[in-house]
Amino acid sequence: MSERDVRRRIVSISPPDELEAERRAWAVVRTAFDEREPVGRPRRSLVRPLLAAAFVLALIAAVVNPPVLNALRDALGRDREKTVYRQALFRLPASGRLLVNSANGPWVVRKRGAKRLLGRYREASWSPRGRFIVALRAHELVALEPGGRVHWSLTRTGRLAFPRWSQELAGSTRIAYLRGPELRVVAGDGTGDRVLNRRVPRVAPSWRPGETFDVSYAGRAGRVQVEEADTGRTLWRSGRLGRPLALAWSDDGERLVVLLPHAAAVFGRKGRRLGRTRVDGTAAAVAFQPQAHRFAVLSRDDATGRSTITLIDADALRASRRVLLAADGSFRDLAWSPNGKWLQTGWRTADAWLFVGPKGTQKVVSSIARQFSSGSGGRARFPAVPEGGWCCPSGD
Amino acid sequence: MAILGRGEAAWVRGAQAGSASDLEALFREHWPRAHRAAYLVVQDAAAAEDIAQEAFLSAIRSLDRFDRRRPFGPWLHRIVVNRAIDWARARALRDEVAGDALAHHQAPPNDPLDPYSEPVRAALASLPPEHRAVIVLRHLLEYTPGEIAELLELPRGTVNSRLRRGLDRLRSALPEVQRV
Repeated sequence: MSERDVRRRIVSISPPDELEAERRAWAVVRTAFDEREPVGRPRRSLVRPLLAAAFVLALIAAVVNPPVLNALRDALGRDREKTVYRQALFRLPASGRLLVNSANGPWVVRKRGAKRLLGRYREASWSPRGRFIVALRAHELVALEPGGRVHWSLTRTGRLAFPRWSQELAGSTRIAYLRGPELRVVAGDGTGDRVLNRRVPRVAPSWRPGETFDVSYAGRAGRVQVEEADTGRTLWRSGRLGRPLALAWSDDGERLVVLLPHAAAVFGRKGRRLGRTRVDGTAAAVAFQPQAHRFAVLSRDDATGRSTITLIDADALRASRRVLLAADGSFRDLAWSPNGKWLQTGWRTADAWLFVGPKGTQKVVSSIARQFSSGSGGRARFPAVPEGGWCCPSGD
Repeated sequence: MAILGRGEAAWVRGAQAGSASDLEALFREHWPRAHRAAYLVVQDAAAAEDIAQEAFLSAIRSLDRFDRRRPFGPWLHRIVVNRAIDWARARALRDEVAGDALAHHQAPPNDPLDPYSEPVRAALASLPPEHRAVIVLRHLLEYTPGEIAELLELPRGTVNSRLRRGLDRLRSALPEVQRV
């Protein structure tokens, strides 16, 4: 076979889905181009008129859109010099990939800002090492790769919700999810689907990191219980707590925080209640910081319209708490970077994401809804980042 | 190697001045080969798309500093190929260190295999990523060995030996597959 023949064959190889990939890439590149901030000084005399025009446009934008600017100004607060603004998500401030659930489906955002729309799925969340994603599509539970390739799907009647992937143990994993009022568990390869509890409230289950597949969930009468998923054995059950909103484990599996409408209750691995702490306003989200016994709580004071993110030490509930952010407007979601140094939250009122970093550093990225719309017209909706949505540097 | 045409210089200038249509012309011109090059090196469609996309994003970030007397293609291809090599190396390491729970449940590709090109793709996959990159730069992107050495910052002799060994491997793989 001649060199020319080899070359001809190499040239004839095309990636699957080539045109669709080009369409997706152009949409991302075009958005980044529209939002870029030129850094160099152009050499032509056209520069001044262009700058003048840009200034006038900025002025018009400021007049036309004061709520956004006001909200962003408020965010500057006392640490103006520590806040960086970006008009597009050019890169994440730390390693890992971010999973974003938008009205058009989940997106995977890589550290350098490249992003991919996976398709018409909802409620996506990561597998333990970020090599797979579990998501819902109509009546299907679907396991797919971050590139969009489907590995398996499971069709079930009823309303499916909250799929959550467990840690990996000896090469296997489990996925817990809700079907109507039922809590169900299926193996990570899509086999062995079964009911764990026939009647639970609509709260996302949470896997305890550890040596067995222990799933915690909100049970009846405002209690939280932890069960060994493979045997169905109840390991422990809490007293009546009220109305649990969310559950989160520290990544060593030693602390569980249960978020309640106006408080957070902390439990040890075996169910010992370690304390309860008040939350200012109404609680909205909770997330444990990686490699620590600290968790962040997002809450909102409905009277003042002010939202707060507080960092609380699970081992010293009363003694140690620090306000990471306090700003006007409505926020949603909390996602820690895998290295535990940055915390992402969605600022709906300002259509922005806020990354809170070490020593009070903040990065604000605006126009989030538009960046996560598919460009098919209509009003773009603000997307959500699922719990644990910032995942896995090694998979990047 | 792609020669800097008058059109491309004008597109770069236009994109630097903020023209989206010039940027699109640059994108349409360079995307297909950048994407294919990444695909041939990493052998993973999703990763190839991400790598090519990131290369363009990187280009946009540096657009204002780009010297428009230089050709755009080699600059882009250097980013694409180096990132593709890094990705392929990282994947090989990950596969060595630990498999994921689902790694053994790989679904077959959605697209039917092309009997003409598939043997070459499979033979390429059997080469180390650095060798694949050299083959791709030479035979898909049509750089000379000297230019490849410059792009990858390798001695010219290394490029030549990788090309020779890579081609031998491809040649030896192809007739066997054709008999099947």
